[in-house]
Amino acid sequence: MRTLAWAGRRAVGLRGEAADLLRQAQTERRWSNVTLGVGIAIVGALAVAGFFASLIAPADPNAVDLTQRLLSPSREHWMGTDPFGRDIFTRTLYAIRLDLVVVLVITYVPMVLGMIVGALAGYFRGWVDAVTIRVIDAFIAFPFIVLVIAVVAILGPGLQGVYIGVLAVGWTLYARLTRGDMLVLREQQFILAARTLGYSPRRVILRHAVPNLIRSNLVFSMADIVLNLLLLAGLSYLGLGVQAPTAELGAMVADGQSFLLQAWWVTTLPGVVIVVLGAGFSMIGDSLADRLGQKFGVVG
Amino acid sequence: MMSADTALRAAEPETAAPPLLTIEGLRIGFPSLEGLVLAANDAHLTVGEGEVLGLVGESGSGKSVTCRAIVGMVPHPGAVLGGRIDFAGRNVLEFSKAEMRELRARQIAMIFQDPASALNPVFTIGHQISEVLRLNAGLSRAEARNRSIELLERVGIPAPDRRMSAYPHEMSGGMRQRVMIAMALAGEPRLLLADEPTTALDVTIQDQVLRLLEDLRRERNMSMILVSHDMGVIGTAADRVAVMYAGRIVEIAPTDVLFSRPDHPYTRALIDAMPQLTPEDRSDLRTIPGQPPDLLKLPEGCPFAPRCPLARDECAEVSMELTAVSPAQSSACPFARDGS
Repeated sequence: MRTLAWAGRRAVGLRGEAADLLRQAQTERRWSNVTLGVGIAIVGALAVAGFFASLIAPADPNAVDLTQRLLSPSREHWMGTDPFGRDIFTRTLYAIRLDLVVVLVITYVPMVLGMIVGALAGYFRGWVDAVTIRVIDAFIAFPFIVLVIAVVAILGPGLQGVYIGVLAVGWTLYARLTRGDMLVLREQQFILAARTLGYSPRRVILRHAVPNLIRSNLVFSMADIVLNLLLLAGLSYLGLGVQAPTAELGAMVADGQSFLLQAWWVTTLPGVVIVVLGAGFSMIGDSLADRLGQKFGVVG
Repeated sequence: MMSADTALRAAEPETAAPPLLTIEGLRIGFPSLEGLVLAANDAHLTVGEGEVLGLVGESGSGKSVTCRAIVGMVPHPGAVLGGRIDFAGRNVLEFSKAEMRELRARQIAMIFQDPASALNPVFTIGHQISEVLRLNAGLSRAEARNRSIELLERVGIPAPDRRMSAYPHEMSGGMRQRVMIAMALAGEPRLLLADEPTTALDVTIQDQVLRLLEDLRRERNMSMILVSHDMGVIGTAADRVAVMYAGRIVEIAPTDVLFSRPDHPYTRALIDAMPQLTPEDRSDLRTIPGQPPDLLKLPEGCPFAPRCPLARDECAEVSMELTAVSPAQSSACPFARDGS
């Protein structure tokens, strides 16, 4: 009888623990949903505002009016004006559009390229892999931004330099990630099975392996987007990225820095937009990593 | 170019049918830091038309690697170092990449051990079977769909038309193994390489899958190599058995002969180690003394000598060549019949 009572207490105790675990899991799930929602709302709202900039914006982004210099935020100029008398709110909208487009390009073009290179290296191994991995190691040995700045310095400042610089360096991270996944994947029996069915290497890689590799790359790309946003703003701030007078968030931060004490808004408000946009992408990335990372046990 | 099929018919005399597959002196090596490991060392075997050859041996004896060599897929970084593998009269080791793909697509199929990873997790099973039919049998999308449903029905998947849109993770291990078999059969192969097809399944499902394979083989007069380390599976499913030890075939014989009159001491030990569940025999499980051999430190002569009850000094000079014990049975041990 005593053992029975004891067992009963254990069971009740377990039920309590199980309920706690369940509650904890549900809370985590709910927070993940909230995070995803907030992230999508932030990025979505800014993206819509940016893409309809020409309809929403109250002024011309490049209209210089020296009589209106450095006005503080008011009903007329929501974010004030910059040292050339341009409306900062207008410029911010145009800058968001430009930044989003550039950031998507410099994230996903290297992703596709890196995935292809990594998949080939991991699948064929041998000298293809040896050469690829040495090249990747050589790139990764340098700080990312130093290499990009070097490329931009050679090609001259401007968006073209940013595109080429980031593409030249950015693919390596995706290639390394994909190669690692591919090494695991190629020993999976469904890849062996596809080969024993006489499918061509091209078909095995593109149709059978790559769909299994996209998941981890997408998760990684969400973190990469944030870094690329900061990179683009940083390069433009240094005068290596987008050139005046085109509105770009990092360049706008640079525009106002000598007036920081008289007109804080010129630098601060575009800076806040960078932070908010980056935070939005981070939130989407984190909750996607939670969801995509655990779906299948096979890879990533 | 002459297709492999017509080449075969030309090479096949009307009377005594030559075996479909002949492996002679196959050597497969894996480089390692301490030296070359021979996963297959002078292996010989034949598989007749419509025959099931069981390939038994403990882990690491070279069974799977030998199978994979037949379809040119020795795992990295291994390589075939010598010997011949004649399939339907042609040495597949000399095939070009295109010929090898053609061979895999139409002549030889393979099924694997682990049904958990044998199907691509991101595609429906309907997609995966249809793909084989469209690529390897040249069917249209609609024909492939109908044929896929037929195949799934044939391998015993209930409600096959609804199962077409299921993903692998929605199915049990046994069901996935059936789908795998359906995919392998889609190309109407003449030889099926079944690499431990039932090892990962529980016993009742094992039996069903073996029965299914046997039925399908009969229907299609397909040949099969059944790799297993389970003497019970081999005993029920195989026509002939080849016993492999440390990369060598040590005995090859018809199944009933092998079980009633095993010759090689290793074969005897394997059969003795099979659990007996009879009221009379309640003895403990018997095991083979010693460890499976380290392929880097094989002794001279017979690799089984260190664990063999009949071992003697001359074992170091044994050539390990298979010699006929009776018309259908050959063994690599010259001393097995001495004492008896």
